[in-house]
Amino acid sequence: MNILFLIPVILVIAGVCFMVFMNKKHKEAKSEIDLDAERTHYEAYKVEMLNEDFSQLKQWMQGKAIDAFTSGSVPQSTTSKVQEVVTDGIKNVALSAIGVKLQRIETDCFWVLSGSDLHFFSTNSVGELDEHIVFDNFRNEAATLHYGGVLKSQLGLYAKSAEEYLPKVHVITFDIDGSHLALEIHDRLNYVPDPSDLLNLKKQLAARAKYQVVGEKFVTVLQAKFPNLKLA
Amino acid sequence: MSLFSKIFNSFKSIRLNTRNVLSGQPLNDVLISSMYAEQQSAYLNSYETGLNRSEVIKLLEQYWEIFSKEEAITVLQDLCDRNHDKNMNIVYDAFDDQENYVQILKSNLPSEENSFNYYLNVYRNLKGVVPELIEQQVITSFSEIRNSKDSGWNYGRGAFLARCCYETGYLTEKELKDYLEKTYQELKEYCSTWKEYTISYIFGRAIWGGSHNSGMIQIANDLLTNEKSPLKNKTYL
Repeated sequence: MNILFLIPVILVIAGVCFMVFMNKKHKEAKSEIDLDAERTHYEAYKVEMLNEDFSQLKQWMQGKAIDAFTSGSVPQSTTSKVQEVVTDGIKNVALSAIGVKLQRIETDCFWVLSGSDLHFFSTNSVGELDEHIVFDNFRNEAATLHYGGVLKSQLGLYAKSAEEYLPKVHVITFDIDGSHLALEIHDRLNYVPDPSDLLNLKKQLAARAKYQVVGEKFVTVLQAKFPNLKLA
Repeated sequence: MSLFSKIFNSFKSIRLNTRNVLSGQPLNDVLISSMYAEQQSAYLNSYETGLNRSEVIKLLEQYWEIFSKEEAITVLQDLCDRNHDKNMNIVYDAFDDQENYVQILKSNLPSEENSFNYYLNVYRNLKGVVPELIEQQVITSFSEIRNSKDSGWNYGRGAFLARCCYETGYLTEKELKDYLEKTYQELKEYCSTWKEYTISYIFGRAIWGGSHNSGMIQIANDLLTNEKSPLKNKTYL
C-alpha cells in the first residue's frame, strides 16, 4: 500500500481536529466575556477607542465634542435613489447636495453625535475621509428611526455561526425638503481582526466586545437627545 | 448685434464711459453698482449703463419682473429693507455660537413654520458657504463678514437696477441720484472699505445663489486692482 495515499486522510483528520480545537477555544474565550459587565465600562472604552482604533474621528471632528459614535452604512436603496436623482437632472437640490455624495456603499462609514448635530462620515477604499455630512438639530427632530435587522452583505456568503458577529442596524430616515434619505446605524463598530491576532481568539473576542459596547450605546444616546427617534 | 456686442464687451474688463463721466461723490454713489455692472459688462463710471435697451429691458423683466415704475420702486425698496431684517442678525448670532445654535434660533426666530424655515435655510447656507469662502481665500474667518453680511449684494444690485430703471424711464434722474445717495450712506453702516463691499457682494451671492464664485472673485480682484478701475485708488467708502 502506497503511503502517499494516507496523506489526504491525515490532512482531513488534522483539519477536523483543528476545527474541534478552535471551537473549544472559541467557546472557552467566549465564556470568559461577560457582556453585561463589559457594558459598565462604556465610558472608558469610548475614550480608549477614540484615542486608539478610531482616533481619525477626533481629527475629522476638528475639536468638536463626540458624545457617541458607531459604524454606519448607506443602504442599496439610498444609493439607487441618489442615482435616480442625478439621472433626473437633480430635481431636488437639497437632496442632491447631500445625496450625490452617497454613492459608495462598501467602504467604512461612521456616525458621530455631537451636541445636536449628527455627523455622517464616509471613507474611501483606503479608509481616508471621503465625505462629511452634517444633519442638524432640525433635520434630526424631523427624522424617523426603525429597526432594520441584521446587516447582511450583498452576496450573503457567510456562515450561520458568524451571524452573531454581523451588525444589527437601525435605519434613520431624514426628510430633506420633502425627499426621504435613509441611512443605517450599526449596533457595533466594524471590527476587522489584525492578521497577527487571527489565532488569538481571546483577544479578538475581547476587542469585539469593546466595539459592541461602544457602538450599541449610540442609538440609546441618540434617542435620549431626540425622543422622536424612540421606537414605538 | 446685441449678442455680438455682449461677447465683445465680455472680453473688456473695466468698461468706462468716456462721456458724462462722474467724479467725486456721485462717482462713489454709482460705484456701489460696480460688481453687478462689471458682471453685465456695463459702464462703471456713469449713470448710463452702456447696455442695449433690449438687454436692459430683458434684465428688468425676465430676472426681476419689473414692468412698471411701481414694481421698480417695490423691488428697489425691498433691496434696501432686507438689510434691516433683525431676524437675520439672529441667524448670524446662531452661526457664531455653534454650541447654542438650536436655542438661539428656537428662542428668537418667528415660530410660524414658513418664516422659521426661511431663516433656518439661511443658517444652513451659511454653514456651507462660509467654509467655502475661507477655502477660496475670500475671507480668513467669519468675523470678516459678521458686520457687513450680505449688504454689498443687496445694495449693489439695487444700485445697478436703479440705473437700469433710469434708462427705461421708470426712475427720473433725480430719483436715481437720490436712490444712489441713499444706498451709499446706508452701505457705509455695514462696509467701511470697498474691499469689504466686494467681499459682501460675493458672500451674498454665494448665500442666495450657491457655489461657483470664482467668476465673482475674479471680478472683485479686477475692480480693486486693475489700473483702469475707478476703485483702484479708493480704500474707504
